[in-house]
Amino acid sequence: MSDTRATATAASTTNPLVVTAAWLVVGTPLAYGLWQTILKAAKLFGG
Amino acid sequence: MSILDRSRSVARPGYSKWLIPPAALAVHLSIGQVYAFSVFKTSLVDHFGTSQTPVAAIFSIAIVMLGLSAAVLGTWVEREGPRKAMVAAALCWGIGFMVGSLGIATSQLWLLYLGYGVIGGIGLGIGYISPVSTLMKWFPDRPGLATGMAIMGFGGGALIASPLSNKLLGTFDSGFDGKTGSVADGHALTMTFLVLGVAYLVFMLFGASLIRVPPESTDAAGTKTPAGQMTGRNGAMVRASEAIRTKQFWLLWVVLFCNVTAGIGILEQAAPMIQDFFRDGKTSTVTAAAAGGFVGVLSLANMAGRFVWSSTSDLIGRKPIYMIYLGVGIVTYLLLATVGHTSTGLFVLLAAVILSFYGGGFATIPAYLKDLFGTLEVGAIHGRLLTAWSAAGVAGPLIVNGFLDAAGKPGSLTNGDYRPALFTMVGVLVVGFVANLLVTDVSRDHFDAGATSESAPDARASDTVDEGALR
Repeated sequence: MSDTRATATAASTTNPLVVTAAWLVVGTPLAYGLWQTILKAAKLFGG
Repeated sequence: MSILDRSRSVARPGYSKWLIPPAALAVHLSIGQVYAFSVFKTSLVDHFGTSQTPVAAIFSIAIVMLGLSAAVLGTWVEREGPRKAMVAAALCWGIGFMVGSLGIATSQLWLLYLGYGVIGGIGLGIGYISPVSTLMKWFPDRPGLATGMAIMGFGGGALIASPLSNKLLGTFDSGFDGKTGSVADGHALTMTFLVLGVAYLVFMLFGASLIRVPPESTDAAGTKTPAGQMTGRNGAMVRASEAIRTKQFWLLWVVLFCNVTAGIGILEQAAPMIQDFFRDGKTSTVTAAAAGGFVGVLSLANMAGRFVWSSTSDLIGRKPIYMIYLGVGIVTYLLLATVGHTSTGLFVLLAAVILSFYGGGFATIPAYLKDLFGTLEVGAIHGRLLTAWSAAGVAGPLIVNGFLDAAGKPGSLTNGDYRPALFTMVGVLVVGFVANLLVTDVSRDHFDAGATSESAPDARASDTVDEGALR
């Protein structure tokens, strides 16, 4: 297992921009949903 | 050899493991839409000229198909790998919406049952389990964190879909404003389903393009180790067909069933419940808008619990975290029943804690399964366990609605009318708490001989990690 783990966690050679872009693609709609829900939740506190 | 085959989706050396969570999130954020289906309810009832029940059946069919397809197709998902499974899920979910759109356009409700309910429901089941075991293999020391990230996405999916669907309906029908009582026409519903179907198809295929299984490795003796396989406690490597013959599987089934039933008890009834708890005569001190805000708070607690509690389980262990979900849940439900009506803030806090445990229970269960059975077929085992979710989806609302129907009519209920249901939930949580206490290591008799010997080096390393996890 240790070998496999070493491989799975080996130093990444993937371009960090690719990783950032992938997170932005999923993070943007999630942030939109969170923001909309926070606005809705604020009504509970008179917002 | 297909590009979708497991062998073609093995990561090249140096492939970043941080590309795997976005892949999983792309799928879970899409299929999480199912919990926002209610935004279409009023408009669908109006379009088909029918009552609430036939329209509610669309959602029920989808959830039942989720449980069934996860249970039946789990082994296929495990064998074929995450990329093929995600593509299958994307096609089912996207086409499900498109067939549903056709059903709305031609005013044939059965096409919505077939499309969104059956085809989409199969996509839900495959999509839900497809990235889970892969995530745990990429994050062997933090399986709770890994699955928490993905399953948090399922909670987040509804947060996106609800406002997005209202926006789309408003775009295609200028008379629709998304407020209570506002109804969108058939054309707006048709187009919204079509747009969502295409969008989810593309988004999920994006996830499928990112997903990779960890590379195979060769140890010092030259023995090839299966890609990223990890044993459970004491070197457990158990196949799905064998897992369902263990008492541990059924104890966890009871644990998940009880935890979900208790959460649904609140979730199902959230908006009217807060109004009823603070009712003075015929009017409530909590407005409809504030009650809607309460639902929003619960959604946030549900989503946050998935990530926070599941990650915490990596530090304190799976059994202790379920003792918290169920044990603290018992205390919280008791407080809700007895002093919840004294303050709106206290009521909201208690309900949010319960919902965070509800989400945490969903997100932590794959890591618990991995601890007990290893990763050999953990996706398939997880799929079979999700039948507990389907069962709880029926039991939770039945318990709450049964007591409330007997107490009086909606709009006239008070906090006291909820007590029998809340105390029943306490009993349900006690059963779950005891079941969790009875969970022990799986007997070696159930281990898969071939897989266990093949990954013997894993057993030693994994035991060290997992001793700290289950406790």
